[in-house]
Amino acid sequence: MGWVVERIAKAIERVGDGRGRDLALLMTALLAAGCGTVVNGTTQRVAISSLPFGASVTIDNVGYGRTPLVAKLKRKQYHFVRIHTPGYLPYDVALMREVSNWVWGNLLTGGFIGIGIDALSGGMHKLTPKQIEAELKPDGTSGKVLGTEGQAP
Amino acid sequence: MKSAVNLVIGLACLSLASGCATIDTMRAQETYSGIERRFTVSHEQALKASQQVLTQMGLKVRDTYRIDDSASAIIAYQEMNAVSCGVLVRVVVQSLSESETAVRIITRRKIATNIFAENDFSQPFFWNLQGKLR
Repeated sequence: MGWVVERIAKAIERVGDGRGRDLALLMTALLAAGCGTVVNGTTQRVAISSLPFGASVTIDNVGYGRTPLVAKLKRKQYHFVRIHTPGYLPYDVALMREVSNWVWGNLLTGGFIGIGIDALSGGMHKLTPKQIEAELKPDGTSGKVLGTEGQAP
Repeated sequence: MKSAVNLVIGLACLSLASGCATIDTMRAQETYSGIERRFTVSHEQALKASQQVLTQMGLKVRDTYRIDDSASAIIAYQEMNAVSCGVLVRVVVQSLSESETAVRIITRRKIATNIFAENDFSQPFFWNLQGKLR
């Protein structure tokens, strides 16, 4: 990273600005920050609603509140969402992570360092679906899951 | 500069040596391998739900075929993107009885050393599948 700072500093000094090094450090920091992380941040808001309203929401086995709500979730990992209310079958959905198109921005700024930072921070991902609208089915229908029912992986 | 070139060549050789997953290698996997979960539904219900879940997860179903009288398989893939060369998935649905079915999933990166590609879809797959089969 040091040689990048030096080169940018020399280039700026050539232009005649005495504060070249500070500016170079700032530019390098901006270049090194992953494009996806800068634009997306490390979390994403996911709106969750249900019919009927007021159902309990658990995300990754932790109670989150009642519908409707907006959950702020880390982009870095999958999330396992369960929406449940008495008298209705639970509604399960996994939030998948997809690669955000902002990662392509690292071709212009950031380069491999930017991609690495995006990967570590989770900024390169977007969670899908972006919102969840669950229509809960009344209890007493369809099949039954064997094994680890009730526990997110 | 020379060390950087050596590093790139080394990584390329490692990628080649580690092998690539293809549709054929997924078909050739042992039928009853992979991560398994059992459901009290019929073979048809499980097969249809598995296809829907794979699509819901953003994968594309490439092929669905019968392995034998009791088992079917689905081959699906995740397309290439900015940091991944793609991922292949095989799901085997095996009828154990009229009302019990085993579902197994195998995930393989198209290039084994492509560390940014997903390497296991089993958890979200089974989570979505149990929701779908309720």
